[in-house]
Amino acid sequence: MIRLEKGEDGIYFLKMEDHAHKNALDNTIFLDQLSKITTELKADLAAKVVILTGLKDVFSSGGNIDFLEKQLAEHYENYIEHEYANKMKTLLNIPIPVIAAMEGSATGGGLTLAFYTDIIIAAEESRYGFSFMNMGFTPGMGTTALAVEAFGYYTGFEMMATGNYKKGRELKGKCQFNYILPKAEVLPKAIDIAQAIAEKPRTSLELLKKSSSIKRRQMLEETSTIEAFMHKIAFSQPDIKNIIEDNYTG
Amino acid sequence: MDRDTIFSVVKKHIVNAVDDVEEATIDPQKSMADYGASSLDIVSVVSSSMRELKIKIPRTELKNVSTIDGLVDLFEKSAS
Repeated sequence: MIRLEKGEDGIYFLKMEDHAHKNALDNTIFLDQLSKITTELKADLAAKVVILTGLKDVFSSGGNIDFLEKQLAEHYENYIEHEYANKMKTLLNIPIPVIAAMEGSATGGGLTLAFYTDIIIAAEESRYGFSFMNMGFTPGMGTTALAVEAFGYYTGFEMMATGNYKKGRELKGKCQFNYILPKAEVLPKAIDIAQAIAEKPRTSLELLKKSSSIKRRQMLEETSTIEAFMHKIAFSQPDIKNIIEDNYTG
Repeated sequence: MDRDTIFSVVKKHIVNAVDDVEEATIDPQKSMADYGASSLDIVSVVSSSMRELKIKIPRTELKNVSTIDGLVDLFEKSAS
């Protein structure tokens, strides 16, 4: 479903390839696999830079329906916090720079996943948006902070509150993405950037990555705590499971 | 609400959401995918149309729709 492929000159590819489920995020499978790969990258000193890719049409569709409707909703009946938000944070522990090459669309937690990387390249033709509120519950996985970091407060808030999916070209000038390019140019651009990064010493790359992510890790510690409280309340709304089912678009 | 009005609203949102489609060329017997719409383009067309028509249909019911005409049918039933 997600696999690490070693390329040339220290450029590694982290490939999400679950066609059947449009790279939906799942707590037990998908996010656990990411954790294992993070550990692997820490130990493999030949790795210099990682390019995170999805499918041509879909980068990631966010939480899968079973995860949202059953696991999360039922979990919050008894517990305050869910570990899935903390698992996403392990991405920040990848010790080297990560480039998200989003050729396809990314929605909900699938878009937030890209925000845990260091460089983002999106496609003009693909759509990006936050589906959480469409399904009646508040954004999670650090989205409430990372969306504001990526889009600024006003556009970030609009995207979270409306749940609209905007085409990459509509986001030009409204976000902090590094590049928004025609889909065919997304991966070549990622490789081009990766080659420049891979020339640098691993130790210096690790130092830069670790120090640059300090503020983000501090911010996420606070945000994930608040989001857990918000989920505890939002998932307690009457009929929440039906609202999720009626509005889940995958 | 009459069927022509509903079809006009749907066509307008298809043109807004899908690249390189002209309203006059839209054939209701075809699917939006035939015009190159992605699944999220279709979600956007459906959401925007329902908002304008002031109707709400669960996604589970929309899954069985295969043509633009089928979507207009469903909207017409819901609006009546």
